[in-house]
Order: sequence, then C-alpha cells, then structure tokens
Amino acid sequence: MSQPQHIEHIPAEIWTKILVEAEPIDILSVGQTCRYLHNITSSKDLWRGLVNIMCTKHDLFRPSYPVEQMTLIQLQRATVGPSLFARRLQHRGASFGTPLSEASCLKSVSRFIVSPPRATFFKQLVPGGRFMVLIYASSMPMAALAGTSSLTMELVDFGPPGSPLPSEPAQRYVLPNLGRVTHGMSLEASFTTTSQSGPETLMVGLAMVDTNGTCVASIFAITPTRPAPSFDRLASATITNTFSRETVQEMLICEENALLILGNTFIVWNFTEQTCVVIHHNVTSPMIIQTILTEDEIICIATSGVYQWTLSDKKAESQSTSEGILLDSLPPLRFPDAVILPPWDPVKYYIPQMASGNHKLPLTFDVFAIPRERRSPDTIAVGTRYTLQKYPSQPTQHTSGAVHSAQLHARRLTLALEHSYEVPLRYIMMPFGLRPCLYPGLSTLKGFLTSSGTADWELNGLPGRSPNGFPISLIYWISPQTQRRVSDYTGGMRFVLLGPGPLLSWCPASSRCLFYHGNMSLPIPPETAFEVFDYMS
Amino acid sequence: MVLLLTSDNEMFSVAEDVIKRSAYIKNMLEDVGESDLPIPLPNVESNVLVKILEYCEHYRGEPLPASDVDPAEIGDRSLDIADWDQKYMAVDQEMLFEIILAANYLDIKSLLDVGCKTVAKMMKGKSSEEIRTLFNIANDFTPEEEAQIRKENAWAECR
Repeated sequence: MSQPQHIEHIPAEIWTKILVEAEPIDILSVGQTCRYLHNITSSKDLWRGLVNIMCTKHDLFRPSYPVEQMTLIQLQRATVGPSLFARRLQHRGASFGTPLSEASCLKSVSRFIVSPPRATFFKQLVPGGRFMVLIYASSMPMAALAGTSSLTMELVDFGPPGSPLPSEPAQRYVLPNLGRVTHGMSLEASFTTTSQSGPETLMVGLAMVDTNGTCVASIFAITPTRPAPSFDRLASATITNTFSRETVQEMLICEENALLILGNTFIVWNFTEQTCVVIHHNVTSPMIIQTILTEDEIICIATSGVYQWTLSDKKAESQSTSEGILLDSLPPLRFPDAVILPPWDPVKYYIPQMASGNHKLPLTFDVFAIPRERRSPDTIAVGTRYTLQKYPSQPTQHTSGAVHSAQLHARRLTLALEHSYEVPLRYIMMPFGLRPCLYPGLSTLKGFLTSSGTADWELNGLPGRSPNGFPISLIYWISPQTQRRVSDYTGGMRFVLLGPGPLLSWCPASSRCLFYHGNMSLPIPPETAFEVFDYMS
Repeated sequence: MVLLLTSDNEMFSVAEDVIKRSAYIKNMLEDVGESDLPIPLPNVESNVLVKILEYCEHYRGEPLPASDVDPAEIGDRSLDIADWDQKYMAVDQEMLFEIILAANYLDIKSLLDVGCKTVAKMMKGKSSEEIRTLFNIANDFTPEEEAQIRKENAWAECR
C-alpha cells in the first residue's frame, strides 16, 4: 500500500497550525493514527499553547495552570477538560420526564473539604478551578456579630486542574486584619482577573457597610505566581451615604472599574484613577435580575426589559474619590442610553437569579412562564432561553467614519431567542426559600446549571444521604429537538444530577464545583465547611 | 503587472494589487522594486497557482490583514468559515493540502487560516480510525505501540 503523499508531505509546523484550530479532544485521536502524527501531537509546546487558548476561550485565570511544570498528560487533561466534561454530561443526560431516582448522578472522582474558621462571608472558586477565595471572620458567627471579630481573606490552592484534588491540605495564603466586623454590618465582595500589567492578577473587591450607611470599599490584588504570593491593597474609598442609608447590594469589578450598587444608585469607581461617576436610575419594576459591568457600560437585565448605560461619555462628570464620596442628596435621575423591551410578559414571566458576581456578554438566560393556578411540582412550565449580546459582534470595517459606527454599535445590544422548552415546576421552584441560581454553562453545550430544592423528591439514587429530602444540584441544558428548522426553536431539556446540597460555585472548564459540606437534611445547611468536587478522572 | 513562474514553467501575469495579498511577493516587490524579470515559484505548480489567484482575485480591494496578530483574536476562535471560503475550499484533498502549502510558502495568512480550519473541521468528532480513512493514513504502529497509546489515552474515553 502506498503511503499517501499529503500526510508526511505537510511539515510539522503546518500540522501544528491545523491542530491549534481543532478541538483538543480530536487531537488525541489524530495522535493515534500514525507515528508521524503521534510525534507531532506529543509536543509539550503544542499543548502549552492549547492550554493558553483554552484559558482565553473560557475566561480562566491563567496561573491556575503552571504550564512550565506540568507533564504532557497533565497538559492534555487540562486542555481536554471542558470538552470531556461536556461529553460526559451529554452521555449521562436524562430527558426531563425521567424520575430523579433514575437519573444519572455525575460521580466525583475526588473531593476536598475546606473548613475555614467560623463565619464565612464570601466563597468562590476562581475560574480555572485551582484557587478559591474565602473571606471570613475569625470567630463564631455570634461573636462576629457582636463586634469582636476581625476579617480575613484567604486564597486556597487546590493544585492545577487536570490532576485529582490532593489529599493533603492545599496551600493557603492568608491576609488577616482586613477590618473589624461589627454588628449589623453587611459585606459584599467580587473578583475579576486581569493581566493588564505583567503577570495575571486576581483582583478582589470588598465593600463593608456599617449600620450608619458608611461604606468602605477596597480593592486587593493577588498574584499567586510569585514564589510568595502577595496581597496588595490597591485602593480604598469611603462612601458616606446619608440620604438613604442603603446598604451595598452588590459589588462588581471589571478592568479598573468597580461598580457599587446602593438601591437605585450606581457608583462606578475607577480605582486606578481614584474617580467615580454616580448614576441614579429609576429601573425598579418589577425587579432587576442581573447587573453586568463591562469595560464601558452597565447593563441591567430586569423582568421589565434590558437597560444599558454607557460610561465612556460620562467621564466628564466624574469626581475625585480621594476625599471620599458623599451622597447627601439624591443625584439627578439618569435614563438609560438604550432599552430593549422584553419579548416576554413582565408580569406573567419569571427570571431566576443568576450566580453572583459579574458576567460577560454574550450572556444566556432563561425566562419561565409560571402557571398561576393549580400548580403542583409536576405542572409543566414553559422556559424560553435568550442570549444577550452586542450587535453586531464585529463592527463592519468598510464604512466611512468607522470610529463613530463602532461607538454606535457598542451601544447596541440584541436579545436573541435560542430555544423554548418545557420544564416541570419542581426543577425551577425552590422549597426552603433557596435562591435558584443559574450558571452560564459550557460553551459547547450552552448548558445551564440550577441549584434546586427537593423536599418531596425521591432520591434513592444517591448513596449515603437522607432520603427525606435535601437540596440537590442538577445541571441541565437544552438540546434542539429533532431536525431544527430555522423557524423552530423548540428544544428538549436534559439533565444530570451533580451532587447533594446547593451548589455554591463552579468551574466547568476544570470539572470542579464547590458545595456546602455537612448534614444536608437540615433545613438550613451549616455554613462552616465546604467541599470541592472534581469530576475529572 | 507582476510575472510569476511556476515550478512547471508556466508564466502568469498578475495585477500587483491582486498578488500583494501574498506577503512574500509583497515584500519581494518592495525590496527589489519594479522589474521585468519573472518571480520564480519553485514550490508552486500552475494548477495550484490558478486556485491561489482565484482567492486573491476574490479578495482584491479588501484591506490586507495587519501583520501583527491581535491577541484578542485568539479568544474568538471558532471553526466558522465564510460561505465563499467554504465553496472555494470544496476541492479534493490533494488540492486542499497543496493550497495550504502554497499559502504557507507565499505567506497568505488568511488563506492559510481558512485551509487549516477546513482540515480541522474535517477531523471534528472523528475517531482515529475514521481519521485514517479520511486522509488515507497507513497505520505504522506495531500492535504493542498501538495498545500502549490507547492505554495512555484511556482517560479521555467517555464513561
């Protein structure tokens, strides 16, 4: 048999270019075809490059992967992780009529229990699944509330994804004495990652509000790639809020801006330049589901529509924050720069809360029509899935006055209908008042994950847990039904069970998820310990 | 007009703004200046050059891509290929790889990208046996080697 010309005729350099364009999981198949291609696909440099591409594609924190120290197989596992996790879900997915007792539970390969001392205010996996940020008070919750406790931030290192979680305690970096926790104080935190100057850094924002309405916001930078990771307090600002004494409901960070939401007021604080812009708005009815801070805009998804305020043209009215920000009167009302009226009925439809923290566009979310009468857990609700994105995603290059049109396009958002599907109420309505949370899913699957309560579910399928009912997390996604026609948006819901207890944070690209650890049959789960599950073999 | 001489000794006369999509020729013209001598292309056959020129002709007038790769572009990877490019790439495999090699030699980045994406797309979701059939690859592993590689990749099997 004659060896075909073109395979070995193509130099390794070009094969590498082809492989960089391919799905990582397909590269493994290519490597099993013949010696020539096996050699090319066994290059560590190729896989290091692929890990970097994966980090960009999934918005992962690059220091999660110490590529220089990783073995070939670790690099391969890390790169293939997202598509393998997606495949595994597809493989085990059950359609929505399946009783939960018969549905597949995705088995975790390893677990790790984290027990921070006492009251935890913030716990999130950093995208990439290697690190977790914890903010906690160092004494019992009651003592913390009585004003005897100081606040600590901790970065826990579980080791790079692609290998199982370690059995020994992971490395921990601790920053104590962030401030004193006093009675009635509220706390909001958020993080983002940036590589604007030098190595990629984790930026953690923290806002503490006392009962007088005074808020102290701080930004910390963590660089875990250094031999001894450092926490730097980059900036602080004080907001004195005398007119309404609102607590800070949310803090979001994007690039060098932090958004603090106090009632109907947005404070966009540029912590590099120490300036801020205050926007007072009247979007209240019925409620805001999610606020997103991008490089130059604030976007609100509300049941009454999608609202957008651009920031770049409001720079002129920014004020210095070096002396603190004093809100002693109501700022002038600011109407949004763009509004999308909802294609759903704001009264009859319901949008579940999304995971806390900042989100990026395109953002996919679900809207549910809930029947008003004769509801039971088996009642079928109609879910509709939309994607919010910039329009057009790429500004056209050939128009004259390109800058103007690019600016104009940056303001434009579109809401695209993805699918409509039927879902039993039990999957979306929560007992115990647990907040349902939807997580942006795997890009390959457009998957979504919901944490869901199960007071009356049969859960015989899960070993070692009380059958009397406890919250459980399931991941679901919508697959198009049969042959999808252009006009046909019908999809079918498929799901797998992810694990017991409400899901707190997850990173599908690393197959790692964070849950509460403890007795889930209690109505209120204990908040003192957490468990990281790794689903990757 | 620029004269090009292919490996099979065929002479092509091409408009400068068409062939400037090739960074190789563009740089050569800038270095050498106006010349009546043909540029030899010892790595490109005439039937491949015809195909390459079809591509350059189609994109005539479009701005040339910047030489620096925008790092933001990496985040926007997808196997989406423009409709015209897809039709253009609907050729037999031998020609497809010839186009890729010529695009690499002539340094036509956008064409090389489309070519690589086309091959990547052909392999999408295929098993190693299917890829062998696709590209007519002879399996030159010993059974032991093959078993060993299969074992090493067992973690990626779907359970």
